[in-house]
Amino acid sequence: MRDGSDKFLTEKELIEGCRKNDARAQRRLYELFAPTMLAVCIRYTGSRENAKDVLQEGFLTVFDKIGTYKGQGSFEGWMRRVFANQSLMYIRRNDALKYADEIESVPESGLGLDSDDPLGKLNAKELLDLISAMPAGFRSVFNLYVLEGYSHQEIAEALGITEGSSRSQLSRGRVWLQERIKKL
Amino acid sequence: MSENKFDEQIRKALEGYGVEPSGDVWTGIEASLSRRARWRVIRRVAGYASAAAACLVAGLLVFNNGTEADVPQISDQAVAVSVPEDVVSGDPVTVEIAEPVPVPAKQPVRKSPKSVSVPPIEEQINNLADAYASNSVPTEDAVAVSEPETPETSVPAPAVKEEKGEPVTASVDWNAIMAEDEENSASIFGTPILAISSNITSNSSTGGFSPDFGPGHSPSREGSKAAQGLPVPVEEPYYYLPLSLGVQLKLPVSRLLSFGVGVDYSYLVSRYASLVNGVLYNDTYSQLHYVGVPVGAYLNLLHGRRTDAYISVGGEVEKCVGSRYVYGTNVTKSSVPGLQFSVMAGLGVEYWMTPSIGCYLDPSLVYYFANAANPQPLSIRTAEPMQLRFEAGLRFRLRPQGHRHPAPGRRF
Repeated sequence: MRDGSDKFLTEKELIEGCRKNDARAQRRLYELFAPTMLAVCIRYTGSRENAKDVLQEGFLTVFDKIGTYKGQGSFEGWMRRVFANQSLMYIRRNDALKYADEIESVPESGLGLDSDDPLGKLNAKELLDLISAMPAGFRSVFNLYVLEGYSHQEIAEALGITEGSSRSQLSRGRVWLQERIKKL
Repeated sequence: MSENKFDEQIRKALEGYGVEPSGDVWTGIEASLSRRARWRVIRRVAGYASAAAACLVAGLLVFNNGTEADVPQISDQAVAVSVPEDVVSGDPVTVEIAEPVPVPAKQPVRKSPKSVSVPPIEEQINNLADAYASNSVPTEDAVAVSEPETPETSVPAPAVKEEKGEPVTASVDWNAIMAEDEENSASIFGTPILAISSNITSNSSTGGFSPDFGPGHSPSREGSKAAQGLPVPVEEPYYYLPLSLGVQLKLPVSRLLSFGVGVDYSYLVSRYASLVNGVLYNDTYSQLHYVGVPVGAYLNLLHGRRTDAYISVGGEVEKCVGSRYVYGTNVTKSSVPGLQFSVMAGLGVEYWMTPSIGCYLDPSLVYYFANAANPQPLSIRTAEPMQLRFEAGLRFRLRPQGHRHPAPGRRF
């Protein structure tokens, strides 16, 4: 997959190449970030098949908007935000953000995990599978808050819900996840 | 376990984790990128074509008010001029036409905001014939001497309107269009710019057919042309749309100021009736080739992300590298000594379609100086020294703005 001719490109050179629509730079950027970004997409969309579509759209967005990256903050962080937004758009398009019933069925506070709980024994793939299996509403808020570091205000604005609803879904999402982990 | 600790464990467990995508994902991305690239090319080409078409149409609409149909049309038939050997300067000279020259039933008068009075065409011919006779007297075989009973006629001058014995008034529209190359400059600090330009220059409709043919074309000059066997105009010329191309390098010296220097080529064509060795040729074409070196200074007024506006001042020195006259089946070439100097001032605006490619529009006023020592051949420049020029072209940044060599940094 890699021809070796561009493996010494710096991040700045790579970004500059993508800005100029250089095909080699675009390919190199994809090779470097596709695995990480696919994991992000799976976390949000809940399935690998859906995540592939989002990954493709996300990279096209990155190549299209890379000129807006001003070098402030990490480039990988900027890309994660692009893919997170792309995933949320996908979820909204597919009307997956329906979680009223899910909120009803899951308590806001659970038993929690003991210090010797099995969380530490889970590998990344198993954990990703669990998060992917979360209901869409829980999953979106959980990903944005826990893994992307968004505030409840930002999540509320992004998802078009109230801050209270965001907090509630996060709590229920944690309980939902802890219960699944305990059952492993 | 606290919520924060739980969240932290989740983040830690997933940190750096990736899932290798299947190969078809990149294939899909590549196909989409290829489609987008094609569209970019199409849009770019369409943009350039639109800009070029808009510039061309605007130039033609603004400056080319008249058409060639407005130009007086007279017979292509050559007319022999009879010049008696003992002719005295100032005496009337008659012109005999072997066959009648058709005169248009309705003589077109070109629209012009200003009319200029000129002497009767007969008088001009007489003067020119005098000059010709003083240098070269045709033989009896070649000259048809007029007889008293021969109906006299004058050379038709369709563009000239004569009324009630008053001096002939030529209502002239100087709609001839000429072009020359000169390059103006953008004020993009730190980025040398290469420009390819073309321009259309209009007369300012302030002149007309002048007896002395404008600066550098005194009767004596035309008389000397007659002595050299070159065509001597006997009617107002029609100036064709000239062709002009040029390149210029622009070097910014500050954010506000740039200097430019270049080279350009101009092709000027005019048509008129002329006398050559006593023979009248109704369609004589004068073709002039100029090569010039324009220099200019450009003061930036506005500098936007894509659009710039500036003031330009400058000058140009040009050399006529070729002068060719075509009349009938004859072609005569002549050398033109001396230089043509001009100065200009104008306002310009440019639009950068990409970081490295832009188009511009530079309307400006140009003044062409008369060269008393070496008069330049008849052209719109000599007929009307002050002209409004409409220049348009493409500019290329030799180094895209903002481009920097990447600093050493993290390597993947």
